[in-house]
Amino acid sequence: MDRQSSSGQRDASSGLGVNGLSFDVTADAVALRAERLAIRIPDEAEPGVALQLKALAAHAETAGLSVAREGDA
Amino acid sequence: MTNVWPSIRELAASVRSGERVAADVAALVLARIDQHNVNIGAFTRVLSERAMAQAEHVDQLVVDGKDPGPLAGVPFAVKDLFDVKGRPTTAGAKRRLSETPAADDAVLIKRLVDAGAVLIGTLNMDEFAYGFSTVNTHFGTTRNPHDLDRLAGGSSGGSAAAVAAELVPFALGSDTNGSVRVPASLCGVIGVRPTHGTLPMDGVFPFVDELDTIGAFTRCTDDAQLVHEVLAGNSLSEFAADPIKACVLGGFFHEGIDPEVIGAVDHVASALRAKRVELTEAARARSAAFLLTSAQGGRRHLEALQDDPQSFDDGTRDRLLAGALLPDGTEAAALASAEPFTDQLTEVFETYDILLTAATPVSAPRIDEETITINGQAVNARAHLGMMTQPFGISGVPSISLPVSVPSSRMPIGVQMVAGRGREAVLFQVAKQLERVGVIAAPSAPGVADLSPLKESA
Repeated sequence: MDRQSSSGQRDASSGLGVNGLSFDVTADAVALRAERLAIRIPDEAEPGVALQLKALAAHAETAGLSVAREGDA
Repeated sequence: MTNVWPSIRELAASVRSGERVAADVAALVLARIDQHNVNIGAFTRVLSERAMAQAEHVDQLVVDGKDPGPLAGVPFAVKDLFDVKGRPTTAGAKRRLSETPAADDAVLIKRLVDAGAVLIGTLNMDEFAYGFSTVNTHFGTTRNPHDLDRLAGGSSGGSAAAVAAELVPFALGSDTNGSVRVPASLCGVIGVRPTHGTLPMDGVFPFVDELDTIGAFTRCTDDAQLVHEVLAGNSLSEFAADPIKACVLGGFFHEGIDPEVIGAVDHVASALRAKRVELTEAARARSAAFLLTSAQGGRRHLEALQDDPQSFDDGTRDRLLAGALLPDGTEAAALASAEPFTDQLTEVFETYDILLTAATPVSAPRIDEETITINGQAVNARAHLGMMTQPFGISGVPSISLPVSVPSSRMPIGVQMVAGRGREAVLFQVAKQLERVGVIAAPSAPGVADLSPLKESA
């Protein structure tokens, strides 16, 4: 089977990710987005949300997206 | 056909001929629900008055010499995300109980009612359809009729359990990532996911536009096809290929899943002389579905997450908050990421009519069981129940979960059969063949066969 999309949009091997999206769910990036969207994460939800974001980062990696890590510039 | 009901086709024929009275059928169904729902927790609302009025209308049509339709007097129920006239559409959420009541029934409910079917009530689900367990903080846990200590699956768990317990002959659910096929597998009934975009979603609370579909739960294949045809508004044409060319998927769909489940899949594969094929992009498609669902779910519920995040179930809240906080562009990237798998499916369907996988990696976990073992690793049970169904949802193809006859298994096991877009006729034809030779059959749930006068009253 051909492993490459006919759309030509996917280029995970080059680090561009799908459609060039850098999947950044580092703490700083998430805090910025929460502020922009006026979302306040309740204290008791923080561990659960963090766990979900970690799982989603793993899925992003499997999906071929370029995932930013904590400490990445 | 079952411990309680004749087939839907037989039941409707007997009402149309005047042999049975629809009002009696509805009354018996209401009595069964009254007796059994307390243990199973499938129904969230029982619409007794409406059901009796509708059934009496069907009977009046028969008396007047008019045809009530192909589902005359057949009781059914719907997942609690369909609009039902005069009731708030909860989508399994406590926060929606105070919503304005629906002005009309959902289009698909109307189609069923126009065909003579009788709406009995609404059924439990994961909050906002986001889950595979039907453990709902407000509306309770739906229990598996085959073992009340085990999950019914979700998110259409109430629908699957109601049919498995023979409380109604059929029920409607919705399937975004497997929410029909997963509970069908765990509860041992048939669950249909039609081609995405085939059935109108008007009056159905949405989750993910690119994935949402409506499908029926039944106990036999002819019933599944009949209900699907009424929902779609047309009859399926016969599929001519003989013999059927089937393949069974290895790789992602085979590695590390429960040996008993693999045995069930191999049993069906052997009956169809299926060849083994690997689709290397399946894991990527599954992850893409996860991301798309999370991002769009978060976006859809953003306002409520901003205003009152505590009004959600804790688990739903955390998943939706995480989804809302994903980078812009995640949805488009996820859809693009699923394309290679869709391309592979297109290619494989040039050679094969259907493909087979397990519908779930395990049979129903215990409700208190947090993890299951996949590939030797303990993983979250509820998140992984959909791993076999998710790749196909995002590709838009039709699929069906069928209960496999495995005498040695205490709990039901489902096999998933998938066809090319628009080829539901192939699925139903092959399912009927398998049913005829006894490879698939909906097992009877213990303890729900009493109070079954319909069998004797004909």
